[in-house]
Amino acid sequence: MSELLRVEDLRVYFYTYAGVVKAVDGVSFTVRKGEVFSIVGETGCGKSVTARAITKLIKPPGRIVGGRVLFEGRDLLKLSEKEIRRIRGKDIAYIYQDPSSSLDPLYTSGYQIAETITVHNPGTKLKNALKKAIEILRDVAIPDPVKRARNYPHELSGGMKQRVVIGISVSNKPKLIIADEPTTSLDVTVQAQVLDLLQELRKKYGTTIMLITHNLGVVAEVSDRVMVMYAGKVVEIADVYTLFTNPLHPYTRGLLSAVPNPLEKIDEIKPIPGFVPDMINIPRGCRFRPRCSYATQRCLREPPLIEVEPGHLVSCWMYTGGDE
Amino acid sequence: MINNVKSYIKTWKQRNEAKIKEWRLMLEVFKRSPLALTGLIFVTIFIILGIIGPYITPYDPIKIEFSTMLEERLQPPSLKHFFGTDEYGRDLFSRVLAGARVSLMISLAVMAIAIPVGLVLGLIAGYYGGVVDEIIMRITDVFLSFPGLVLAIAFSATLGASIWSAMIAISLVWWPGYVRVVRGQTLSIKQSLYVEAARAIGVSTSKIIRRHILPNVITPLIVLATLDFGSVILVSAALSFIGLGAQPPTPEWGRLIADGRRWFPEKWWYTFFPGLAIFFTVLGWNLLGDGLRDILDPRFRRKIEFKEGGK
Amino acid sequence: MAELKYYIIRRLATFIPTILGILLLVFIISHAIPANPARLWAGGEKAKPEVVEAIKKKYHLDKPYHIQFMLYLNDLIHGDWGQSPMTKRPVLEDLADYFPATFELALVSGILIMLIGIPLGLVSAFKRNTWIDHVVRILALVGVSMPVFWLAIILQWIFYYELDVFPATGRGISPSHVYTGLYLLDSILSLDWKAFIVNLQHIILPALTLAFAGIGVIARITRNSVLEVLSSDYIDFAEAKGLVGLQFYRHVVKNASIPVITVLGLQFGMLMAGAVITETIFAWPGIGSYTVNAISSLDYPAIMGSTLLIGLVFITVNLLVDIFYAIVDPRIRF
Repeated sequence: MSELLRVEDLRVYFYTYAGVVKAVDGVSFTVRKGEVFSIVGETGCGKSVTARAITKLIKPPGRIVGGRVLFEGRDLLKLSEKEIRRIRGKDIAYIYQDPSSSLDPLYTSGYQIAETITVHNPGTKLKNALKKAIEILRDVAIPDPVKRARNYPHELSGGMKQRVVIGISVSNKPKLIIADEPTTSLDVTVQAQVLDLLQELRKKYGTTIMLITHNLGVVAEVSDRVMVMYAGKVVEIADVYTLFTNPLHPYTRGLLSAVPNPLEKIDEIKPIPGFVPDMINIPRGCRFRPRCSYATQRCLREPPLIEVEPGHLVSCWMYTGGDE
Repeated sequence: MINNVKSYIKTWKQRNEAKIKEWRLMLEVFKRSPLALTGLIFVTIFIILGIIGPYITPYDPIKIEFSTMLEERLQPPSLKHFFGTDEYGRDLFSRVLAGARVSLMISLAVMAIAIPVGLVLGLIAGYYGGVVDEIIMRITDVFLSFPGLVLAIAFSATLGASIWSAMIAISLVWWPGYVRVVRGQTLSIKQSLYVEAARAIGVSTSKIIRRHILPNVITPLIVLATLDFGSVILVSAALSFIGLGAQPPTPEWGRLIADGRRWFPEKWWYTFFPGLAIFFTVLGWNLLGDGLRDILDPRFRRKIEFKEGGK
Repeated sequence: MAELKYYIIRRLATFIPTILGILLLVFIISHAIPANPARLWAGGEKAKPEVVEAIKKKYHLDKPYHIQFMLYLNDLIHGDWGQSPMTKRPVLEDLADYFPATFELALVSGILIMLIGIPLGLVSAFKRNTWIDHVVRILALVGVSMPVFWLAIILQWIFYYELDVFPATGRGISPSHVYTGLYLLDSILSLDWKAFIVNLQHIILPALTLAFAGIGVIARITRNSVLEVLSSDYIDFAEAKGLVGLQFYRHVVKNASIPVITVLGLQFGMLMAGAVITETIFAWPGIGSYTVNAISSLDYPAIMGSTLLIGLVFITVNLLVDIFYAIVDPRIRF
């Protein structure tokens, strides 16, 4: 499979009165065409910030301070605001966490799909776009799409709203969909339906999906490859099978052992002692060091991300093979 | 003994660590807000003048000195009379200082009537709901269907022109606003999980109100009352200005402006300084209220903590 | 759209009890609170006893309150809002004469508030935490802290006595044809440009005085609601969709307009109240001047008539705002 997206040494910092928060600090990974690439980690580990930084959707006090985001060979971070806007919603589409707040309450669901079509296809009449919106609503398995297109968000259920949001994201047949916790705010039964829908659409349109989640069950169910993040850093990248059967990083191991049943949610990982570090006073060296039971003197230096076996990358001194 | 006190203070500090931290943070936010500090200074000056003003005036603010009246009347501001003199030769600086007391008295009286009434009715309406709520809120709505000043004029005109009737009239107009705020706040807290849990385990109503609802109602009430202090002063000055409210020879700011208009603009100081006094007093309350709102609103406080520092 | 119709009908249905409530409150103030209403209505202490007797008889003031209230309502509906001892005319006729001037003044002030307040709010939202934002914030606080009668006098001082660019008092000249009673509109309709200019010059100072507090309030509300909308998830999502220009800003404008319109409606009611004070200083021949004259000549029926009228205008404006609100926001018409 060929490469669709390559992120190199991405750094996003937030400049607050309290200090500089290095929310994403040197993250690198690649996403291949047609796969489902998942990013997992606890709340605040920088996974959402990474996702948004890909199309420069970072607002003050946040700033992208370094790195490259190569999408089909172009560095998106070098594009002007005008150029990047043409990519958002067309080549790279987003699905946000909470469908209830992602939709504008004052416009109908049909209109909100249609405007996404007209903005990226100049010359399209709104009337035609609205017709197309009904087709899309049918595609995302909304019953009675003609009527639903005329409904306002408050008239739809949570699951239906998320289908509309998904409809918006697929409306221009994007190459990459970035789904940021698409199922978190939904009921468990609806979660499964929405995941199935995403899979179906991926097959139908050949879209690549980047899935951001803290739910390991969802990861196991749909992903091809997984990246684990901790405190703004990549700790491990592997294909889903390897990650679940042979996790190497102590944090990944903790994550997995914390969830005996991978279909359970992990809002908080209890078996790993300690807390996610305060992002302003980050521990020196390996950021997981204070909570790690294997930590030694060498962990005071920052571990590199190295490939321990083909396609399996980990950032931990235990696997560097070098001396103490 | 001293050790006992020390250890008591220590344990008290430990027990209330979270609260102390919160107060520190509030103080910090307050200190960072020059506008709120300015407001506090204005308000403090106003209150002090309201209490001691009539005792420190350089001249008698009310008595007319007929022997010197003719040469002293309508004199422009000078070192002798900072704000000039009125048509009876009275020192306007003294009259403005003394006027602080009238404004303070009226606004305090209005707050002392309107806040308890609003608090009690709002708590009842919000907590018990049903028919009681319906009745209280309909009455409240009717009062709020008038611009406050207009209704205050109607009441005041009915009760006769005097400071007392102005106080009653403004109080009658002012309580509904508090009912609405208290009721809204009570309703939202009543539905919160911890209050429902407290009720489920049989905590008494009075205790729930005292422990859970009141503390949450007080905060927005304080902010609103601070902002309203200024509005009450404006309304009472307006009543006096149109001839209701304080009557001569009482030195009241609105009344002074009305009297001074006859001589405007040649004797500009007569209207100018009383107006300035009203303006700075009301501005003080509004600055303070605005600052308090920032401090007491946790959402806003967080914003300040994480306000953009870098570029 | 069917829900919108039902919503408006329901809202109109709650309008009637509110009107009744207003009438009841005015009735209580005028009939029940005074110790001797008839004497008050006749002009107070100096009223002639036979006039007091006649009023007592005419308005059935010796009957029980509930019957008095019914008769009061009956009188109001038939246009009998009482007799003014000051002008010796029916109060309703006086009010009809004075109302257009007040309405015109409030309208022009409302327009000034929108034209100045909304742009100021937008500027301070988009230039948040810059000096311009701080200036607007202070301006808003100064606006609500300023005693309106004092501001009026100061403006007269500057623009009439010192600069002599605007007249200090009066409403200007009556246009050649009077259609609506709004002089500016009438001058345009009758193509009387001379009257238009003169009337415009006359209305500027009172309208600016009246608008001063509102400008700051609207600027702040505009700023805060724009910032709130800009930080919302649906605007984030609209950005992620790649929306640009008008397609993007229509989401911001529509959502931010809701609180702005609500406060604007409320402000309009406040303008009617502020007019009471402003008009006296600028000798503007409206309800406000009428009321203040009534106060000084103890013309009680006139005071009550104006109170009732302003209350009715106030709730009507609120009704219109609510209906507008329902048209813009589909969530309201449940």
